[in-house]
Amino acid sequence: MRHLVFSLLILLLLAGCKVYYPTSKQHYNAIDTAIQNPYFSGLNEERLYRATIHFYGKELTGMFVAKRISQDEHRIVLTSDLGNTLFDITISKDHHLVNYVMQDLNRKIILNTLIRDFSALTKPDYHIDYQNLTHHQFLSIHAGRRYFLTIDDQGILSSIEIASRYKTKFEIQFKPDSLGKLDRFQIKHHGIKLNMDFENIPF
Amino acid sequence: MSSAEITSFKQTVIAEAQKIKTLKTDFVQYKHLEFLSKEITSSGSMLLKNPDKLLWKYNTPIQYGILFKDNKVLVNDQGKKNKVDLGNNKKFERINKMIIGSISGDLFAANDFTITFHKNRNQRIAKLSPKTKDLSAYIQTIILYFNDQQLTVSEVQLIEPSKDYTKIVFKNKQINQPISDASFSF
Repeated sequence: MRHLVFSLLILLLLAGCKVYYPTSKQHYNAIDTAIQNPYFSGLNEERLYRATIHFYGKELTGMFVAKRISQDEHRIVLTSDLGNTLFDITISKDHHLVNYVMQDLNRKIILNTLIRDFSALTKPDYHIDYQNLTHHQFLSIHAGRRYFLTIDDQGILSSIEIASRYKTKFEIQFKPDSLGKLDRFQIKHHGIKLNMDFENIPF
Repeated sequence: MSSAEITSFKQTVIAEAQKIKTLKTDFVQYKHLEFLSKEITSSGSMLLKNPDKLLWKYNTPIQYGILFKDNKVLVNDQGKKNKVDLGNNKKFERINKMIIGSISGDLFAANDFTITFHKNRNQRIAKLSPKTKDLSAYIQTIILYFNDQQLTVSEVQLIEPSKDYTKIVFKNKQINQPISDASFSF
C-alpha cells in the first residue's frame, strides 16, 4: 500500500513538471539542420552599443562592445559612461576567461549570468533538433539547455529564448536595420529582475 | 625633474588650484581597449564652481550628464533624470570625483597617492599611484599632463589595473569666468 502511495506521488510530481515549450509541443517535428546567428559573427567587426541595465530597481548605463576576435572567441566589454571598464570577458565554446571585472561585480552568480547571456548572444551557429513551422521556431538542445530560435517573415533571426527543461530563463530579442546590421537588442530575464537594452551608437 | 623643481612645481600647482573659483572647459575623452582597432571617443564640457558644484556633460556620441551638487549626484541620461543618493553610493561618488576632480589639481594635495614627477620638452608630468588597495582596485595610475608652462591640467590619463586606459584632453579652458548657479542643472 505504502509503495502504491509513493508511486502515485512520484507520478503526480512528474506529471506536474511539464517539459517547457513556448507554443504547443505538437507543433515541433524532429529535424537535423543548423541556423547561423548573423550577429557578432563577422571576424574583427567592431560595433559599439549604449547599454542600459535594469537590475532589481537599479539602473546602470555604459558602453558595450562584443567583438569576434578569432574563429572560436568573442571579447565582451562593458565600460561606464566615464570610461572605466566594468567587465571584460573572453567567451569561447569550451572555456571563458575573465580578463577584468570591477570589484563590485566580482560575484560568481553575476559572472555566470553574464557569461551565459553573452554566450547565447554571440554563439555563431545553433544545431537544430526540432522545428515548428507554424510559428517559424526552431529548437536547439545543447548541454542541458533548450534554445528556441524564432525566424521572422523575412527569414531573419528575431529572437532566441533560452530555457531549462522545465522553464524559460531569458530571451534575447534582435532588431536589425534594413541592411541586416544589429541596431538594437534586448536581453530579458524571467526568473530574476534583470533586463538589458542595447542600442547601436556611432563609433 | 630635480627635487627643487618638484617642490616649486607642486607648490605653484596647488596654489593655482586654490585660486580656482570657477572652471569651464571642453574635453574629448578617448577610451583605449587593447583589442579594439580604434579608441571609443566621446566629447563634452565641464563646469566647476568651488567648493561644491561640478557638472560633467557629454554631447557625443550620446547626451549624458552627471552633476555633483549639494552632496547629491544627479544623472541625466538622454533626458531621463535620476537622483543618486550619496549615502548608498559612497564608492560611486569617490570613483567619479577622482576621475572628474583630477583636472582641478585637487589630487595633488590629497594624501591618497604616491606622486612622481617627470618632464619632457613641452610637458610637465605627474604620475599618481593610489596608496590604498581600495583605490588601486579601480585605478592603477593617474597621469596628469601640464602643457608648456600651464599650471592646470591639460590632459589626464587614467590607467586601469588591466592596462586599458581613459585619456581626457581638455581644451578651451576658462578659469574664474562668472558661471551662474543656474548652469548647474539639467
